[in-house]
Amino acid sequence: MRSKTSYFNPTLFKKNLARFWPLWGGASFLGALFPLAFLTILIRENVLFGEPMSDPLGVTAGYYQIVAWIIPTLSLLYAALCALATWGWLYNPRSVGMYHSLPVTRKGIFVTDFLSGMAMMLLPYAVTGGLAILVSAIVGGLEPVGLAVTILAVAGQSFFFFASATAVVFVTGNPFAFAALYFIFHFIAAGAEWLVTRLMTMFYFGVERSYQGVIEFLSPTMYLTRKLNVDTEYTQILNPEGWEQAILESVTLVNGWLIAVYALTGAVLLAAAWALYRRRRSESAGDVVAVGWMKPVFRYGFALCAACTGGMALYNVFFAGYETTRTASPVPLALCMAAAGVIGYYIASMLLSKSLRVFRGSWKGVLATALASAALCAAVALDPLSVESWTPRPEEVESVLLIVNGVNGRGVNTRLTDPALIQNILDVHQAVLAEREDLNKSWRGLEGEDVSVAYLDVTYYEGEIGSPHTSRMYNLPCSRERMERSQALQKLVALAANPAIQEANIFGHVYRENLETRLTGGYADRLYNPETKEMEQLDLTLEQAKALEAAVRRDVAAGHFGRTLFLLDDLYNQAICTGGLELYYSVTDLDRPQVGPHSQTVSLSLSAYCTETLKALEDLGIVNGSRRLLTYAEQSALESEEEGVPFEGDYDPYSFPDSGSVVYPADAYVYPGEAVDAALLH
Amino acid sequence: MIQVTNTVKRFDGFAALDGVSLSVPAGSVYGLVGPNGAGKSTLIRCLTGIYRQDEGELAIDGQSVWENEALKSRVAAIADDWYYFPQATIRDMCRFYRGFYPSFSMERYEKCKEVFQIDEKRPLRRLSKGMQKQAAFWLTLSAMPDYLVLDEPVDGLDPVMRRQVWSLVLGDVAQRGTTVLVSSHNLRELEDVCDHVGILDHGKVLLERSLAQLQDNMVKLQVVFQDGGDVPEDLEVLHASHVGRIHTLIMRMSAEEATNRLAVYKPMLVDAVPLTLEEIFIYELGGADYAVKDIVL
Repeated sequence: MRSKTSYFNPTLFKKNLARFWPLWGGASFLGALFPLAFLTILIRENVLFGEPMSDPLGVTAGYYQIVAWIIPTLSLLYAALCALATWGWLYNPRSVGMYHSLPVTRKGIFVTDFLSGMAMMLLPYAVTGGLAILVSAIVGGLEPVGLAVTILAVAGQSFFFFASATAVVFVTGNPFAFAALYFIFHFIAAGAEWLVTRLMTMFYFGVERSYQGVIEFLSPTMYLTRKLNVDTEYTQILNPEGWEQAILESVTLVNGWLIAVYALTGAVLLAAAWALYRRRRSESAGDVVAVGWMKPVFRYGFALCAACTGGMALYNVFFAGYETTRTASPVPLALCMAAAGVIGYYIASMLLSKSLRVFRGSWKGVLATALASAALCAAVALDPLSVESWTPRPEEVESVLLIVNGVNGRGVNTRLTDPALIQNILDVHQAVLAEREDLNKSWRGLEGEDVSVAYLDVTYYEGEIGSPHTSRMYNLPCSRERMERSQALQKLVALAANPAIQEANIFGHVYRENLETRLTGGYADRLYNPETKEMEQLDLTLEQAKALEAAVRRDVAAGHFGRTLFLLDDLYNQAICTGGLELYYSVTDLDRPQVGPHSQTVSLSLSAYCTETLKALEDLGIVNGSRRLLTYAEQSALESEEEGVPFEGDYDPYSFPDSGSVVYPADAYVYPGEAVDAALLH
Repeated sequence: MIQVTNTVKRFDGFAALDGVSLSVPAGSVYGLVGPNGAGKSTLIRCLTGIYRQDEGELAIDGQSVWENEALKSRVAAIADDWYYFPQATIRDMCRFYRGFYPSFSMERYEKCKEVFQIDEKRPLRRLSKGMQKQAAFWLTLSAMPDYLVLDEPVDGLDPVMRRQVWSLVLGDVAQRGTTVLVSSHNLRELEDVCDHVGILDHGKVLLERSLAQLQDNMVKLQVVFQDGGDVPEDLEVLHASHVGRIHTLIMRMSAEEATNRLAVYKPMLVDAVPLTLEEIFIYELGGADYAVKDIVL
């Protein structure tokens, strides 16, 4: 008859902690340094026993920030070390023999070792947390709910990460393989999505940044770091001195429930670890993969990852330079992927068998890998989901982040929510897709053409910032000839100069909902003084700044800003001024009043098209005979003259272009054609 | 007693134990002999709960060994590659073992200290291989096990220390009735200590006998026939050789029976000579193309 078995062995527990005290002791020491350093600062500043520095909710907010942004990564790394310390004996046949011959059951070893590891995980947090609580109590008191949530969150994350490390421990029989598999386990989902989307970017025109993090929840460190957040609510009160003061009303750990979900997942992983341990053969110590059925998963998984990464690398080295389009040709990429997949297959086989002799009899596996790699390539290339030609329905889009870089480096970068503007952007997007064959050209495909490249980047959001979104990016070859024939480019030019878009582009970050904005001043930059022949800067009075802001708004409304984005070299030099305007604002975020007002700047590059602003500058006396705005062409002429090179132009370098209603230079806007002008006027 | 019945253990399809059956009587010293790769260590690892057999049964005192905490607290083993914690001293390992074996005796530990004369506070990794082996015996014998399982136990020990160690083990057998299963690839090493022997090869037990059975079943005779004649053809001998007129015959029967058989030929001289264990095994197995030389050389 068997005697009862125990699930916990105190000798083993004590031995584990005693053997690896440098690990948890060192971690505790390092952790303790932070609250102790803070305490030292308090003593040095003589504030230790004075007025409380912070209220309890402020302290809670600090704890939550650590829980949200530091603990996931820290626990990920530290759990790997604790798992290696606790379970490292599994990787040595001698120690496996000793442990399993001892009068303790595997269940007893499992429970005891897991508890030892959890103790190693939690002791440093307990030491650091204990000291932090002590210091917190001194500086501002403690808030019990926040403290309890923090303790639970730290414990939950520690449990999840150590349980996941424990599960991985039993998959392998080798410490190096453990480290590799542990991090693969934690990042495989995000990595696999990234790999597939990278493959999509090879084939799909405009799909340059398609990683969405759809399955990122399977990569907990990334997901927790992204999702956990600290939400604070303040109320404004008048303090006895009559000043308005923001008081912290509540602090919430946003998405804290995720930690509970992951902790439950940790329990499942722990059960899986126990199941693996029960079935684990002691002789698997030293194996890269210790679980029989996981060996083919590892072999073919490794091979497919190698096919994707290695295939793309091989293709870029050997074939990409010959492509006439910006996207890849399926056949050479499929060949590269098949070759890389086969190499990956052999590497995985060598790791599994711990031998270089893996070639004999491997042709079936090699063939399967090559075919699977090529099939994956073909499946992505065929675009069964129509990813390349996709555009959202207008009603699906809540907002759009629009980035347009013209051919001369100037651009638009703004977020838009107006449905009419979103429709305009969709029109441009669809026009670009319609001209895919003509626009999807690599430099090799553009040989013989004198082109500059413009850049269109659209991100469609289903909701607020952070909501699901989809991006498309297009590098568009531009030349006078192309601009005249391409509907897509003409629509893009019109879009860039759209008054509402320019309004959002220039003033969107200072004038928007929930911002209290006040213009405070500014300066005009790089004004040429003909007497000193120096560039000068002139500070603006508030009145001048207000007048200029109004003039800028008139120019924006008239569609004068954004017209220069697609001017090619000669016209660009004649139209763009070297000088510009900077307007200062004081902005208060009404959602975060505790932060108080902060400064914002609007920087404006002026061009000959900005007639209202140029006139205002003259009317205000900012630009006059002794302070002139120059175009780049005028500046070049001046520099040439100073160097003794006569300028053969037909204008007076000391007079600014006519700032009346006639746009200078008169032919600056010829190539988009009348259709664009009509669109602009519309 | 230790009972192994039709035990099979495979590694990636290779059967390291291929239907092993053997029986170790309580209080005996059982020598498990076999060439390298015969399956000795695998059998011992199965018996100590390290490996789980794929087929068959392994029982000690009628109880299955696998995951039997109570039973294993009565079984102590010294592996061929005995493991100790890298930073540990003998004293540390003593504390560790004491936590697992309820019968661990500090009194025995202190007595063994005098025998082995190793500084118990020196890290084990700084000791020589032989001293580490002594430490293994020191700790294992201090656990006062009812069953002692030893895998190539005296490798690395000098002859004096071998004698000391065997003396301690046999003392336990005599005083406490400890059952000892000891494996070796060298038969000569076990000759003086074992009362039962099993030969393992290619995962199978070829032979299992008590020493008395072996000795009763085979005889070595020196014979001189009339007129200096050769060994009669109808005489069943396992081996025959001669120096001059003296023939040395090894026959599978008792000495009495052999003498009676030879009497028919009216030999001038018949003299029984003691057989060594080595000779018994050579002639028991030699004709079967087994790697007997591996266990006797």
